Amino acid sequence: MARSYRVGIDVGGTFTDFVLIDSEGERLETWKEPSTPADPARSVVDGFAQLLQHAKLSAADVDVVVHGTTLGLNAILQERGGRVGLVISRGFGDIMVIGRGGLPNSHNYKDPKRQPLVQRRHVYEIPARLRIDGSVLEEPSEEDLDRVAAAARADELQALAVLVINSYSHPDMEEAVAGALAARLPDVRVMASAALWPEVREFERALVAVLNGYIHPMMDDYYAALDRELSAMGLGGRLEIATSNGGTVGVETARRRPIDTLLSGPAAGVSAGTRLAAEAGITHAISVDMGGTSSDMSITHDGEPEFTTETRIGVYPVIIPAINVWTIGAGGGSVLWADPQGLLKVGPRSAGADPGPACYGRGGSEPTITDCYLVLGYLDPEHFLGGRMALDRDAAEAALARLGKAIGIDGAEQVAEAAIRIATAKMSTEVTKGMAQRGYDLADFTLLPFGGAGPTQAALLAEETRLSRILVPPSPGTFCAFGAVTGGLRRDFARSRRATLNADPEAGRAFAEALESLEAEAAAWSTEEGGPAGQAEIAVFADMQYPKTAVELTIAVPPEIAKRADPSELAELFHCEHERLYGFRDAASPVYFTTVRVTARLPAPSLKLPPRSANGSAVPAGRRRVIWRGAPVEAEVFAADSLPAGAELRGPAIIEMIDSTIVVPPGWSLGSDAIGSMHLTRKD
Amino acid sequence: MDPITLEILNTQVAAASEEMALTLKRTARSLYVKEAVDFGVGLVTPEGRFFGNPRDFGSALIDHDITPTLEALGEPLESGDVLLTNHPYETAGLVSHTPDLTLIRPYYSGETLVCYGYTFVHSTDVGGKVPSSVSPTNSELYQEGLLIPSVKLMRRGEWNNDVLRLYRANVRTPDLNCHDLTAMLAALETGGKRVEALVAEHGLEAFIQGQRDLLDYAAEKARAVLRQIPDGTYDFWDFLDDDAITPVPMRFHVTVKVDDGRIHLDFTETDPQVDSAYNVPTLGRRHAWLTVRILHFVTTHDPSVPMNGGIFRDVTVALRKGTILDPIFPAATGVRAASAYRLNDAVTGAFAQAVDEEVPCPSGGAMVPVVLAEYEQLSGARNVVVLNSVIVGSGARRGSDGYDGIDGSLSTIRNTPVEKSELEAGVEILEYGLNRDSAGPGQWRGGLGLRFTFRVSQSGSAVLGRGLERFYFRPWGMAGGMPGANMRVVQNIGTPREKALGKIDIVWLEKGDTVTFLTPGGGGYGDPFLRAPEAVLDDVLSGFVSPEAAERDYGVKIVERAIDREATARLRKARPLRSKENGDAFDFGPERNGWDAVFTRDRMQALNDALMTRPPSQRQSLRQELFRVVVPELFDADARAARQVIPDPAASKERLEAATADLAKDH
Repeated sequence: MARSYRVGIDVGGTFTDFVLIDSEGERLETWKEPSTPADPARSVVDGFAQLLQHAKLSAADVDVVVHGTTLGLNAILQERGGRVGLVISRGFGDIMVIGRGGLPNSHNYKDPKRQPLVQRRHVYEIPARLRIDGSVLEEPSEEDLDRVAAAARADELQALAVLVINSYSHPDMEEAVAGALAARLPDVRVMASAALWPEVREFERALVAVLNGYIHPMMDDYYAALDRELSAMGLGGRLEIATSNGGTVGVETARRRPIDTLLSGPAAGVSAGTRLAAEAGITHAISVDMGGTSSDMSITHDGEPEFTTETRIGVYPVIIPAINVWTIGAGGGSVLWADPQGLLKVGPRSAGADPGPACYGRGGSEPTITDCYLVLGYLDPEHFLGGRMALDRDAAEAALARLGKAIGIDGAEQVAEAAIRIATAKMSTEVTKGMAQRGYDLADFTLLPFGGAGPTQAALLAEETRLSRILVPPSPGTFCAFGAVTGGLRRDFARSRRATLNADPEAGRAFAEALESLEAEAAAWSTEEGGPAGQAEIAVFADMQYPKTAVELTIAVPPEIAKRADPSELAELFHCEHERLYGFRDAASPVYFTTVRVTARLPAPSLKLPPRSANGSAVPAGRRRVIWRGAPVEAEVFAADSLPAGAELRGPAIIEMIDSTIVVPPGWSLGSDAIGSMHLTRKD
Repeated sequence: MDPITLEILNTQVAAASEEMALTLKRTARSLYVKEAVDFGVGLVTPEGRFFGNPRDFGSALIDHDITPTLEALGEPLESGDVLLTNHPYETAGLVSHTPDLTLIRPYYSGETLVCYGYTFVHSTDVGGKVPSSVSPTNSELYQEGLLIPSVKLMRRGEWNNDVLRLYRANVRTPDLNCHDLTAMLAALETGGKRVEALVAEHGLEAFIQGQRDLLDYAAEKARAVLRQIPDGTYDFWDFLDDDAITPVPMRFHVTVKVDDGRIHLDFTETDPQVDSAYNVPTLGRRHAWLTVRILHFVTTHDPSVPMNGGIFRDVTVALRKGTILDPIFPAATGVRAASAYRLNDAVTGAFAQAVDEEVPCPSGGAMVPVVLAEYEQLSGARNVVVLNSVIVGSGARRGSDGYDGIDGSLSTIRNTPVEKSELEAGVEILEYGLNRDSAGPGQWRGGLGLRFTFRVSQSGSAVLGRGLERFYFRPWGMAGGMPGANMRVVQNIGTPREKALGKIDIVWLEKGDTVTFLTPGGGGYGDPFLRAPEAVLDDVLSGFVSPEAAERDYGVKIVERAIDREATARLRKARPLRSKENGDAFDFGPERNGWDAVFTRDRMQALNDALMTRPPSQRQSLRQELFRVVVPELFDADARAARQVIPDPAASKERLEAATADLAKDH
């Protein structure tokens, strides 16, 4: 088979990252292009050209481009989406205002009152309502539909979401309403909630449709423009879009369902990290993607990244499965400050990319974590971003010393050391809380740092958290782009049906029906993406619980059990998991399922990376003074590229990578492997 | 302790308590923990003060001293021991009602006591007169379930099986409760491990010193915030509609004295304790329920303040024995949260006189779990479902409208999806939306209350709506703003069989009957005539305000979806502006104005003083008789529903003075 090339592109707030790999595992090229938020496609197209030039390839050589972007996410967070309306069953028009109740911050009664995504006057109630069994309570007339269409036209809406109460189990009426409105409104994108995500819970389901409609106009334009421009450059291959579940979909799917792509960046990194760790024999990992403004944490357990159906985008709950990433306000740009009582604080405010840390020399006068790294010797002022950006050490020292005066600490190094201790303690408590929440044991886990600052902070965090193993992937600074390019096509499907599993003889059939329709949907999607029929790998899950209890568990259903759909077998799966988690089973209680879930995956590209030569030995490029735990030590400095496979070295050492810097403290050792991953181990 | 280590410890102890909360949440199964988040955890100094509490999980009621609870044990708590209690009086209110099963475990390092771990869970049931143990009509503590004084649930790491057996035998849900106990013990274990690690990292003495320094730090930060309140004396009162067994309102009075950031809360003029379950056990001490508003004031103005007991160091209280807020054992305390809700509205009103731009108007003032009980026709089995937690709107504040259909003032409970409720019970939910015209009008309007209507599908269904309030006394407006609407509950709304239900305990329904809950919005802030006409138009087009109310309350004339500028200008000139300076600091609505005209502060003080000269056992019946004489219409349901219980204020006033005089002299 001919050699094929894949390119991954991840657009971040500061940089757009590019990674190119080939099918033979012989090439790995990376590129960083400054992002262009005003015209987001610009940096993608420009950087793509740069990457190709750098790799001596043409666009026609590239078979697949996988693109990840936070455009949709930012549009929601910054309230810059399109004009979307909502058509809903009569009596429920205030749904977007009320939501699920509760305030995001109960300790602040001045929490700003938020405007709903859909203005209340763009919500149209219609007499369309089903009972729980699908029988009709109210049905709209042609006049009702005309009235809504006229209003939506007058209000100049770009998209219209439709929700009929109880449509999740009986979608026909909602589909009919959506179809009738689409026919009347050819220029408006009309989306039925159950067609997008047929799960019980009207607010969350409406939100799926509303958010999808909210970002649809801009995402559709963006993807279309990108597709056009890349084609104009001669790209003949496929364009795929990275999704929140760590996989990808074809651009046509993404144009219909941009909501699936909201959190693609961090998810791609976690997904690739999980695979890379697995190749190194690591099944439990805590990934920390530390960038400029924050750190994204995630957990991989038993070789699988953790998924959630309770993602929050700003204040909005999104129920579509996504890799579970939680963010803390500690990044390279986190600002150091003192409170009136004289305590030193770090973050959550960030200096961002502009003006950025004091050492960027762009007018920032407040010290940040990056300034601390520089002053403590972790970063080389001449080597930042592979030497493309010189850092101003004097400016960093001055900013730190100034803050030191305010809190009675003498010296820039002392302030930096203190701030790093504080930031590290904060990150560490986030890790231990994550463990407590899941009941996991830290001793089983390896730290997996990436992002520009991740490898620099990793050993500090590991020491504080008592983790003794760290795995730094190759090119950690462009790792999310790497994740995008190595993630495979993947989509999730769900359908809510409720049946009691051991009392109701119909329950098995209800389960089988739900599964059958989900599998048909998955097969249709797989064919659309160009996958041969039957090639998609299907995993089945079911949400189950004992009646009147608060514990609903998502249970993996092995294929043969899913196929048999025997109620008592299914119930037994729940009993077992409940027993594992809570120490007992309620054998006398009925069990019911509420939602059946399916994940469809097409084969992912290989993770093969260019092998590193085992010849030669690790020769330091120099030495430098670094401050470790308040004391200066002399560290040997190595260029990552110069380390042969199998090299072993002991801390204190600094490893300069193209897009990041690894700190190997005293008491730690580092080994590099055949693909350029770095393994740090604590020796005690 | 050096400020760097202190900041690190600040992060670490908060995280340690959050780990305890996460462990509890993960291992527990009951609805109270998983859904209602009605549990608490914390770390407590050897002196008995909370120094580490989660910010975002569980109940943040941290103004307590655990010393009385420990003393009640009568023997020392040793390493591996775990104390169990649910005694509201013996614990001096650390436990505020009997379902709150509470555990305390000491953490030792060698022979030295480092600190304590604390946790409580609102248990599903602890026995007593009614399932779930809590009912407003319980008249003494003994009806509220098994009463457990401080005992050792574990001794040196071993279960005390006698205690466990006794406990299991007295509760309706022993397995679920014991599972909660196990989860609480797991949380205490997590806390212990974390404390051990902190001692290892910082050293024993430093960690113990650090606890005190964290309290000092919080105290300093809180004081800095509280100094924003101008010195002075501010008094205010507010009401619960009635005490569930008589129609006599309960009045919560507070006098707040501010002196350079020191706050004194004097509740001594609050009404005598009641023979129902609204009493708040405090044993005359400062108590978390009394200082909630201060906590929120501090955390709103300085989000970086550590969540610990130091926040309250400069707060003192005065209470009067025998009142609702310092009841005498064995007064029932089951629904004390309703009283806490209202007494904090009173504190808000007092604060508002000092810094009205800094506090929001009161919310709609109720939180109602609407419960449906269905009876299976053949088996007779009962299906009890919480259809939804119907809440109210938030109060407006200077610069912002209140939140619509959300009340963050004491509870952050989430609502239940309509589609989920319909799966659980035989109902059709016809409306779940905002209650038009329910918000207090203002330059910044209150948040709207809710409108919730459902239809039952079988006869013999019963609806319970506990916690309904503000039928009579409205959520008041401030600084020229107007009050929110009254609560309403209506059967078969919009049909010939429509019927106002008033404050229901339980209502039996026939197939096809509907019930509608119409909850109050929050109070408004500032003269509604100052609200931008465009904002009023938007509210009208959104269906939040009717065109009639726009004209009447806001002076804005809307014609065919547009503002009639001329008519609006004319309407808005028709009266002088309402403002604090013009005597409109508060607008309580006509019902309370009428009530207060008779029951003035002085007359209420005289009445309560007179009652206090009588034996506690007689006060409630004497009080009820007095009100029956003074305001007989109060005891007439129709008059109450029409909200006209004082047709002749002068006559009522005379009767009140005469009856009070009688009471004072006639022993």
